Amino acid sequence: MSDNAQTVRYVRESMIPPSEPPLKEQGAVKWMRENLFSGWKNTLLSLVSIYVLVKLLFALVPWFWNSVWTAGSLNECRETLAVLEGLTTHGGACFAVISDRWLQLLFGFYPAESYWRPILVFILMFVALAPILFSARLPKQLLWFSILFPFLGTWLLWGGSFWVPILVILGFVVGAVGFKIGGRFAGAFGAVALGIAGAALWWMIAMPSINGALHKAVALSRIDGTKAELLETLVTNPAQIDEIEAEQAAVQEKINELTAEKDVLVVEMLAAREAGSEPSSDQKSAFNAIMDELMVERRHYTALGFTAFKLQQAISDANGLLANIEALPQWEADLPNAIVTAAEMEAALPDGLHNLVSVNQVPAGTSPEAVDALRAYLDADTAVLNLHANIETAYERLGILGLAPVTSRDFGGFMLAMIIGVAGIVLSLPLGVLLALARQANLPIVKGFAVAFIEIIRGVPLIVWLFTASLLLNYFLPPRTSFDLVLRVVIMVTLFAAAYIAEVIRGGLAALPKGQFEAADSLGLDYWKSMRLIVLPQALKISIPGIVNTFIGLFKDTTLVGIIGLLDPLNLSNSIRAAAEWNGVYWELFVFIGLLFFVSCFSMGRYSLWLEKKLQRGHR
Amino acid sequence: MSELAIERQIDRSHMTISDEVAIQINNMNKWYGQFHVLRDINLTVQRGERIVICGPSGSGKSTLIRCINRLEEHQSGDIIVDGTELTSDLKNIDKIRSEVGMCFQHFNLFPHLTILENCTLAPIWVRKVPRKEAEDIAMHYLEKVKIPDQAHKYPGMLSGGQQQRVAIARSLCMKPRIMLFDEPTSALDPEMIKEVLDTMIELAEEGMTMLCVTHEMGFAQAVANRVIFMDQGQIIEQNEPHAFFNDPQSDRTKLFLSQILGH
Amino acid sequence: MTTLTDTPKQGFRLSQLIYDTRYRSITIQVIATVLIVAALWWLARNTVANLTALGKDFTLEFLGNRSGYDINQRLIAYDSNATHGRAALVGILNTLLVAGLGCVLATILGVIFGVLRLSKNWIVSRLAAVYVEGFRNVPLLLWIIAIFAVMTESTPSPKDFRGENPVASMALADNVAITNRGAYIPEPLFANGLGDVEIKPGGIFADLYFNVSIDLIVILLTLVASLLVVKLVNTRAADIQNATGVRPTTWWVNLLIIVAPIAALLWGLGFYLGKPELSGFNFAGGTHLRNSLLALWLALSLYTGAFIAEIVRGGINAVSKGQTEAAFALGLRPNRTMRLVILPQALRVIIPPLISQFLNLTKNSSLAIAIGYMDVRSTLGGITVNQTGRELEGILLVGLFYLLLSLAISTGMNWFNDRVKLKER
Ligand SMILES: Nc1ncnc2c1ncn2[C@@H]1O[C@H](COP(=O)(O)OP(=O)(O)O)[C@@H](O)[C@H]1O
Ligand SMILES: [Mg+2]
Repeated sequence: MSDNAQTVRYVRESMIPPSEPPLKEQGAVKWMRENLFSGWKNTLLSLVSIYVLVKLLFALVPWFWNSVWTAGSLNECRETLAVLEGLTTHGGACFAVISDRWLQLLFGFYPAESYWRPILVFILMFVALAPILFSARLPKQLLWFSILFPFLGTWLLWGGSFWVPILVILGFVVGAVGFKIGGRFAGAFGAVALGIAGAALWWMIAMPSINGALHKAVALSRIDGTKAELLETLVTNPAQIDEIEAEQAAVQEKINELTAEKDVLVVEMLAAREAGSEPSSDQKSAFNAIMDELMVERRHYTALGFTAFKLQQAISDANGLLANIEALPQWEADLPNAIVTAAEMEAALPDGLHNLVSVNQVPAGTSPEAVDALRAYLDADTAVLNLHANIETAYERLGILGLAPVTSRDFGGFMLAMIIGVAGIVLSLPLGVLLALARQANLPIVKGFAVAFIEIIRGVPLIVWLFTASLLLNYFLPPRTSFDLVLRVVIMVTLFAAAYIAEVIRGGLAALPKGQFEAADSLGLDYWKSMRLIVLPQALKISIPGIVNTFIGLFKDTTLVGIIGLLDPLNLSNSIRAAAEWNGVYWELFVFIGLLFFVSCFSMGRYSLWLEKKLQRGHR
Repeated sequence: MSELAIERQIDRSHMTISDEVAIQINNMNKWYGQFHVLRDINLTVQRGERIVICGPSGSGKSTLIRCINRLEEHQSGDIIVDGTELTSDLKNIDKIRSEVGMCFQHFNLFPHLTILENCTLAPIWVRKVPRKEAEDIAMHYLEKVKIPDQAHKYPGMLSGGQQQRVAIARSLCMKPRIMLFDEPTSALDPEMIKEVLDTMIELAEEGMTMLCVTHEMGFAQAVANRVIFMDQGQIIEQNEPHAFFNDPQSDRTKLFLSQILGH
Repeated sequence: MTTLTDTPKQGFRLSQLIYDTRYRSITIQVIATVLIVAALWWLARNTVANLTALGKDFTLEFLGNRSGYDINQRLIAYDSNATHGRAALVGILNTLLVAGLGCVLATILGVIFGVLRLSKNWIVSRLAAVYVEGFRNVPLLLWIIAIFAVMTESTPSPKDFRGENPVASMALADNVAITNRGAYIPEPLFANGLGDVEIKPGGIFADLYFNVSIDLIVILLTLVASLLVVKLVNTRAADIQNATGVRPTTWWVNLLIIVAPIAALLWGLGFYLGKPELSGFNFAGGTHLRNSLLALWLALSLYTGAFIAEIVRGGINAVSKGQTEAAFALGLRPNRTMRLVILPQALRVIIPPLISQFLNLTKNSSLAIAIGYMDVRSTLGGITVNQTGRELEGILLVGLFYLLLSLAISTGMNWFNDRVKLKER
């Protein structure tokens, strides 16, 4: 074939305008063809999935769609479903249980008039977290608030006098001063030793006495006023309670009437259904109106009951306090004698029986008289302790200046899950950092201890650790110390989380290039300075996604505290079911609790994913 | 490694070598496990000397200068820096490290700190200089390496050459009496090499004692007063630059020079 | 061989303990050891004081006493006259059972959903994502309780299967009955079985008596032997492929080698399935899987499966797209690409986190307590502790069991991981 024979000159003279692609290359059709039906396998998968999806939706949508939100009990829910929709029990959800009990699921038995406190803490938590999570955009001074937040938050939640958090913070100040002084005179070891000793002395000796003295001062300064107020309470409250009870009776009457009215309507409507016809819309709206009204009245009734309960509580508190005021002089007078007596009895004890806390501890072969003497001494000692405790508690109750105290027994629901989760992570961070540093240190024994701790904690399920906290922790502490279950759980969860955080941070440390350590060394920074200034800031930043993931895991695991008797959301759902009106409600509670967990965990998970991507993109 | 011609005129008025000994290394040996990296090193550096160390990859150049500020521990022999012997005594190590500056191949700036913070960190925490003063010193040296306007940026925002100059400024802020360089230009593109070398030349003109591992032979010829050739953990040959390049004695040196200079 | 460091010039000074790098680390370690030993000693002393104050001592004798409680779910012979030790053993086996079943099912679910989530099919990947996110972000305890509730609340009771027109009927050709008391499935039986061997150790191991079915042992041995032969066949096939370039088709030979001996053996033993039958108010015959076991198994598998799916997805994603393209460009088919290029690389990323998921699943099986499945925590760490008042010993033993189990699993799996790594390198 010759070269030039085929060559024809060509010059384009008009341009082709762009045109639409053929229909099957466009829009939804194209998308479906590419994404759903691009081959027989794919088509089959799509069809199966669509089938599953449709099944699921058919099962779930009506259940949500027909749900009942206003009813006083599961039975009323069922009635409503039956008369309005002609449905059986499982035809629609009974979310009335949520509208009735959602506050309880969120706060447990935390006193309703103080709900603002956990809510405020929750909001402040974000303010405190902001400078840590979005460090680049916020002023560094905000970090001071982050540091103060744990103390402020604890005080807001548990209540008590306003000076308590300040005294606790002062302990850190004392520790820091001790650290400085120790560092000046005795090097690094002296600094650490003096710092810890100073803080410990402050918290264990100075703080309780200052706290007691302040309470006593406040109590004494206003004791007459308090007494008058309490007496007044004893007079006024019973009258108020009577009034409220009368009102309650009226409301109850109204409720009974409405219920009767509703029952009549239900019978009519059911009869209509029986006959095969739909109840009239008049009937339906009448029914709805009655249910709404019933709801309002019931709320009113509950609110009245709550007020009456508070007034009643105030009366018994006042009685207790008045009794305390009466007894105080006597207690204070008895105390010195009791101390002297106990000391004398202790001195008279035979050798080998000192420092015992129970007659069970006596060595074999001790004479019965000696055992009796010991028993008498122990009783006397207990009496002294009781007197001390009585006096202290009385002054504390009389002299409180701040927020009403709330016991941790009343904490529950999501608030409890949040508190345990957040406290666990925040407290475990310093310990986790130390463990991670120890684990990568060039010190075989220290490293061995760190590895053993981490592996033992991680090798045993959290639930076993929680049982350890609830059953065994008292064995490990000095005799006669015992404290709050929530606190014990927080301690255990902190140790537990520390092992996991340590592994996360170890990953962060390993991800740092070796050059960073070397550059710090070559500038002459010592170990702690290079850790604090160079290594940890970077390692911790890399570790934030891992820390958030650990928090998500821990937050979900807080549901386990229900097994040892705390009121986590799941355990609360059991106690809600235990009430006669909500006996048999499962799914609605599960859905609500599950949804709350899902929303919080899912969004935190997304945040950590976003952060991970950002860290990967950024300059390391 | 290409030879980058040094075009500028070098001011040699301050380049004086005193009798004072800056670094003294006697019969120093080092092993990595079973591997004998440094064998019987003997080296005396006078104050004001500018020494270039070269040699094939893996010959122990980095290890040698890293021993001088104890980033690596030697196992026998003595290293005496500025009259202080490097032993396992932490106080000596701290003292030497704060008087010996070091620049790395990969800069090793601290990415979470701004340029200024990178420079003030060690003066504040090691030398206990007040912050204001430390910042003034830092700005002074940043001006010297010609990047004062970048002081508030983060290292990630700078080019490689700028980062290396910051690294030099960071070391200078500690007012070191000796500077160690470990292949400061080998991670850089050609046009950035020049700016870093210029900075190093200026440093040399001011009379700094420098130990420099580099393959920039132009720099060696222009600035160094001594060139050391290492191979297999030993010092094979050392000489003043002109003689070293034009009349190498050892066969190893000849081979090495022919390879890197390409003739 | 290294010569020792320079000897100190002057004599030893006390400050060297802190400022000399050689002694400093020793000093720190000695201090750390002293502090930790002191802390442990303090804890031990408190424990002893508290125990004596309560009039208790520390002994494991209670393990030999009569337990006095029943355990409905058990793999070995047990009744309330057996010892607490035996009860603990029943619990341990139950833990191992649910953990083992869970690991298998979770892996299957995880691999399926992990791959589905990567599917180009939009709806399939979305559904897989819903599964993964749904299970991952809700507490496991909630899933366990909810699944248990589904099983007990919305399944028919055995009596619904009775009568002329029963409300409920058995599934899978009348072989399986799903009731609110659990599932009844056919059980394998042998008409001319070989009987059992009794293992009866003495001394402190007296509680470890078992009956082991000889049939089972014979079947397992046959299976192992067949697999060895299969391996031999495959090696030969690879040799032929190496020599001639053509790989002989082996799959049907392999199938025959595995199926034929087992089939012959089963026929010889007179294998048949014992179906569950309705008798009175309940089912008899067949194997009874209790709801507590099923719910725990399902919940653990679904929950852990969601995490494994993410791991699988991450592992496959970690192998860069370039690898696939390079394999395609070399002319490898997608299946081969997956098997020869992607999987070997992905497995290296997948296996370590997979191990930790297996560990999590095993530890999470202790949530059995929420639905009354009698695992080791519920027997030894639960009822036994309550009955004997030995909470210290009981919980210590339970913790020790989990610790050893975790260590065993991670050691075993790491060993396996190392082998995979070596082979692929
Ligand atoms: N940390 C180490 N452990 C073991 N061997 C090392 C280590 N660092 C360096 N080496 C070896 O020591 C030798 C010298 O290394 P180096 O001083 O970095 O050489 P150069 O800088 O001359 O290229 C090389 O063979 C290297 O493999
Ligand atoms: Mg090098």
